[in-house]
Amino acid sequence: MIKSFERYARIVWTPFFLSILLVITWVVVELNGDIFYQNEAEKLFLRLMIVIGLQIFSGNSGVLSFGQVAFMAVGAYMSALLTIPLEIKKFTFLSMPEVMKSWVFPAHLNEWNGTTGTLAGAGFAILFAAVFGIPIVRLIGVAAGIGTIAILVAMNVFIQQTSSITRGTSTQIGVPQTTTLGSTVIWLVIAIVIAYAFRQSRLGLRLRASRENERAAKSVGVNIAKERYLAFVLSGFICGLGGALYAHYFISFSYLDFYFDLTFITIAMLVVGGMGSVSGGVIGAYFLTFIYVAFQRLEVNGLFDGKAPSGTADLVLALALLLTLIYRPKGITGGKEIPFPTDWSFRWVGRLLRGEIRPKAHSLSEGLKVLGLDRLSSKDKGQR
Amino acid sequence: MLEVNELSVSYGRINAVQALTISVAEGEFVGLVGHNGAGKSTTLLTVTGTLRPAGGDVLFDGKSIVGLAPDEILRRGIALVPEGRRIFGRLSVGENLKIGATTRKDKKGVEEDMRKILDRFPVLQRYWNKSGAKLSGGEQQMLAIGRALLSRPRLLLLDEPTLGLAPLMVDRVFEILDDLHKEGTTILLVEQNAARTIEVADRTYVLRSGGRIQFQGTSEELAKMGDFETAYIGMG
Amino acid sequence: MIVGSASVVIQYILDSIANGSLYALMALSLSLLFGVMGLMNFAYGELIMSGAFTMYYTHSWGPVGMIAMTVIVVVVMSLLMELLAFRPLRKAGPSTLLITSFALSIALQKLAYMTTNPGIPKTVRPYPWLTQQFEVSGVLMSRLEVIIWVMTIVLLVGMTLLLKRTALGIQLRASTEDFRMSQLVGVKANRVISSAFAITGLLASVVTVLFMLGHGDVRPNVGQGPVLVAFVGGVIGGLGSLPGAALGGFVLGLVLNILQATLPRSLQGHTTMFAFLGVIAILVLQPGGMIVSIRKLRRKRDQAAALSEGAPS
Repeated sequence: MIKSFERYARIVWTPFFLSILLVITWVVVELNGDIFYQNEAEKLFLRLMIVIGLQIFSGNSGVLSFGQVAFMAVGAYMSALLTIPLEIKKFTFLSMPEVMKSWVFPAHLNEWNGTTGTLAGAGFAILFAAVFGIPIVRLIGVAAGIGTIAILVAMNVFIQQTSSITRGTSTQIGVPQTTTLGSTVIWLVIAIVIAYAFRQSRLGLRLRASRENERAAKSVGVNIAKERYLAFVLSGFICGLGGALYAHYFISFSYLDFYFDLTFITIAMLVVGGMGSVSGGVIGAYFLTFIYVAFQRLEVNGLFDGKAPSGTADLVLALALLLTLIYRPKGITGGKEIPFPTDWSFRWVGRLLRGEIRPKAHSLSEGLKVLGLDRLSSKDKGQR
Repeated sequence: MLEVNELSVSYGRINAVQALTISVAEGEFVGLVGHNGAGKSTTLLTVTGTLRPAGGDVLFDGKSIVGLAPDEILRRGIALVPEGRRIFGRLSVGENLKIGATTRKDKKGVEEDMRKILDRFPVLQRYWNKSGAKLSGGEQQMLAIGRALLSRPRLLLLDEPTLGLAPLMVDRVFEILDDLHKEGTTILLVEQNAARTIEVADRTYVLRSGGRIQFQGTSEELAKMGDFETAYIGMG
Repeated sequence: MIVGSASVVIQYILDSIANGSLYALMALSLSLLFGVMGLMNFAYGELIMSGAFTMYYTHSWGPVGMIAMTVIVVVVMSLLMELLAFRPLRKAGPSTLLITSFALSIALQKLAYMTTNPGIPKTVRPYPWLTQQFEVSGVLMSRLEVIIWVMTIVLLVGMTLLLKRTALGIQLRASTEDFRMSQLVGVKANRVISSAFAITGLLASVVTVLFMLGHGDVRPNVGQGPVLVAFVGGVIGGLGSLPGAALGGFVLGLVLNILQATLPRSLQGHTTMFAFLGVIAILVLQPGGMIVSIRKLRRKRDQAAALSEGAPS
């Protein structure tokens, strides 16, 4: 009886734990009532959405994508187009091509507090991901990196230049504000469950096997392109969802919102937390948000007698990513999920207190060696 | 001159070489034969500093060379003719030879060695300006050996130099190695062609998979074991 | 003013050659690092940025002082990048290097935002005698354009000589082809990589000076656009091959400029989009770039010729 309970509990443990974390955050921010923290929390949640989308594809396949934010843009723009009231659309999209006008203008998908519009936006993101996924899943390593950057840039140029559909460089007008912190949390919980289920599924397992060793995975009959493709499309869906929610929370958005800055911050969150697990994405997002907000406060309020110059927060973020890549390439979680409570071990705390283990960060001499500075003092012992 | 002591090398969790001990004396021609996956190439790559051992030591002239960069090991006098030759295909034959002398400062000596090598392999002189990729397999092997010799090594390591060559070319390679040995070069030759290796080498190690030694001995000793061929083939 | 159509075409081409030349130089340096250490250096744009700010702040020193300082700053930046960010990751995979260069790029941009007070728009004041156009048999040219052509030719010839004639050049080419093997023939990894970064920095500084004298606006993200286009050019030409990348950069810069001038207005803005979509296709269909496909074709033709001469063997 207890045994079987534990078996089921183990299955749902990670998504449950992560969801509770999200709900607690939401409740705390809601009770606090400060609009600054509410906006920061919403940003955290929406970035986390992209991080989870990224984790589904990159985390499982090991192929890094710089392009997922493009699908977020698709979700945002399409769901906005389908929900802006007709009276406004008539003015803001005067020159929209007739083929689109015919179905975009009458659409007003605001049922169930905007849920239909959000889903429609995510649906279009799926379409785009399905098209771009065909070439991308055939690429690995740097080629995949460049290919996905190409998607991001192409999408950005398209949005900037096709003002008849996207309003170009102008911001949107008249997008109904239907997203709330609460609805974002609900969608996020769904996304986490999807991501976790995918990771644990046979599909996800096969994909992760291919990440560890492509040749071995092929030899046991894993068709990597197909697995990757499914992950890519699923990822596109989650990112599109994030985009649609973004559109209906921040309502006046533009092409600038879906470009390198967001790509960078989401990749940083995933890498710092640990690409290999959903928990890694969540922990990374929280960790970097804390750092970011703390330094942002430092920029605004200052500490002791001086303010940090504006931009410090972004710089610290970039440095955090660089240091993670150098010293802990597998991220904070090392690619593992949150362990079940009965597996938790605190022995390392005791050992740390008794001074038996030192922090694992590279000692100074090792750091110097990495930089090649050790040879300034001692004689050449080779560079490796 | 070279002593490999209890050397272990692993790729991730797979042990490629386990506690291998071999030695090569000055002026000696030593063979190292064994099947695919016996850890022969791994051993050579570790000796030359490309791979790091998990345990054990490599001594050259009595000093440990573990952890040194490949170029430093070359400077001390160990040159490798790698598996598959690894000629720089986009460099000309001349450039391929010149880059072999990267570690040397004595211009005159390099010129002299270059002349000797071109005398030995006239084909390289003929194709001096041709790109390395355009040579035939045998010609590339000459080039790879020439390139290694230009560093004026005290110990020459060769990894399967006859692999994929036509029979006539195989004869030629063994001839060259025999000549080099007679001129005093110390050689460690890794080969799958056990019979030919035993013939030319002073001493030969026979490896099982995982880098454990099955037999070792001089050509005469191994020949005396009679059914050595069968043992070698049968050991899997 | 009515100008004959032939000279209009020549005008477009001349203008575009200058544009293409700059991209050729950028793609060449990107390809150098890619070949030697598998690094797709996003932060190359920030070399241009640091050079641009140096030009802005040293403009009062006069052209010689400004250019000298820019070259020094950019080369030092390039070497520091290698030492602080990429050397610790020497053995990491190309994807990790790509994220690293991405992070580095953002970090440097933010650093620029923090230190340069972006509220005040900054321009490198142009030298009128450089940018003023003059007419040569019906075609308008500026001294700057001529300088760009000459500098590009000088640098490409210089790079060719360096790569073909010097020991360092042979080592660089060998490392581009097979890094591990080059170490086994005695090439020092640190030395060859530092040299590649130094050359990259040198090329970047020249690109910066030529680019900024024409464009002027100095912003923290000034390098991002050009580097993206150079990326694409390099991929089209083949990042694994130095001449291929340079040619790819040149052709892309040329074509983009010509298209921008000739396409109907509604499509003009989309040219870069098509370039980037084209890159995805090339990555999948012809990952080595166009140079590789030309080589392959030639080899096939050689084989066919050999067969038709065909002594049966």
